[in-house]
Amino acid sequence: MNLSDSQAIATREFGPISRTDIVRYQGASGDFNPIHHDIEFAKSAGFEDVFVVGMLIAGYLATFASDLVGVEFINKFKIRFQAQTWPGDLIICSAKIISTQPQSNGNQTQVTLELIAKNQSGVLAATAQADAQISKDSPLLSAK
Amino acid sequence: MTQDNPAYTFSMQVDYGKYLEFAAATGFKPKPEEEKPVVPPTFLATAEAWLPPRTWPAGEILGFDLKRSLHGEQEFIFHKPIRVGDRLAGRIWLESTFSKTGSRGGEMRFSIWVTDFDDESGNSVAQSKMTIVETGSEK
Repeated sequence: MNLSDSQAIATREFGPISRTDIVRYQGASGDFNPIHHDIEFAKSAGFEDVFVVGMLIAGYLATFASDLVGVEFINKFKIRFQAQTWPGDLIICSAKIISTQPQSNGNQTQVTLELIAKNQSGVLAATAQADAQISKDSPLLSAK
Repeated sequence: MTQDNPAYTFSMQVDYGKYLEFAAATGFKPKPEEEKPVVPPTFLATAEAWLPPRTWPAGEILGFDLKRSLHGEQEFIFHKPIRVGDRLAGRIWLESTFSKTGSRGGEMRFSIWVTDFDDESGNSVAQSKMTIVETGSEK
């Protein structure tokens, strides 16, 4: 993904992620992989501690994107996990507009946001993309 | 196993309680003023809760070791917004599987799992695509 062309239009911070946050997400999603809450299991798999469920980071980035463009307009969300994050980590998110495409109906623009999540040390945790079809008059588009 | 011959089928109801619970877990501001609010973009991850407990296709079908497996990528495509109150039918199938040699040696196995979601009229409303990676056994 190309990070160079435009400035971040917004940033947002989530966390620090507690063990309770991890368990709350696992309960909400139904993903009970023990590697995210059972420290003995995590150690038996060679990790020092439990690590954060990737889909919780995805959830944060999706919330961030939803607040920027409107949840009902998002037609695609894609994430690539880059590094594990750990209990106590902050998740620092930023968003850029990487493409805009006017639609043939004249009133709408298909916009692609690039989203990145880093921890407090600057380690890249995930890169994501959200596509949305929004009004061509959206203030977001003049922010580019 | 193909799109027409899925590994698992399930049905799910997008209920309001799960919407609130998922919103609280991901910092999403729910919209209780709306009768049928649109769910957050990664909400379909909750399909897992509608499968039998401990269902894990990569382990059951490909023999991936859970302790060495990671979630590499995840994608959701929406043909229309998913709303509270929707009833969805899901089909999970294996799109592809392949291997690579990892940077520290050892074989890394990849598998891409697709879930197709249809509405009650049988129209496709969303698709989820999950990449699961099993890292090499040399740690």
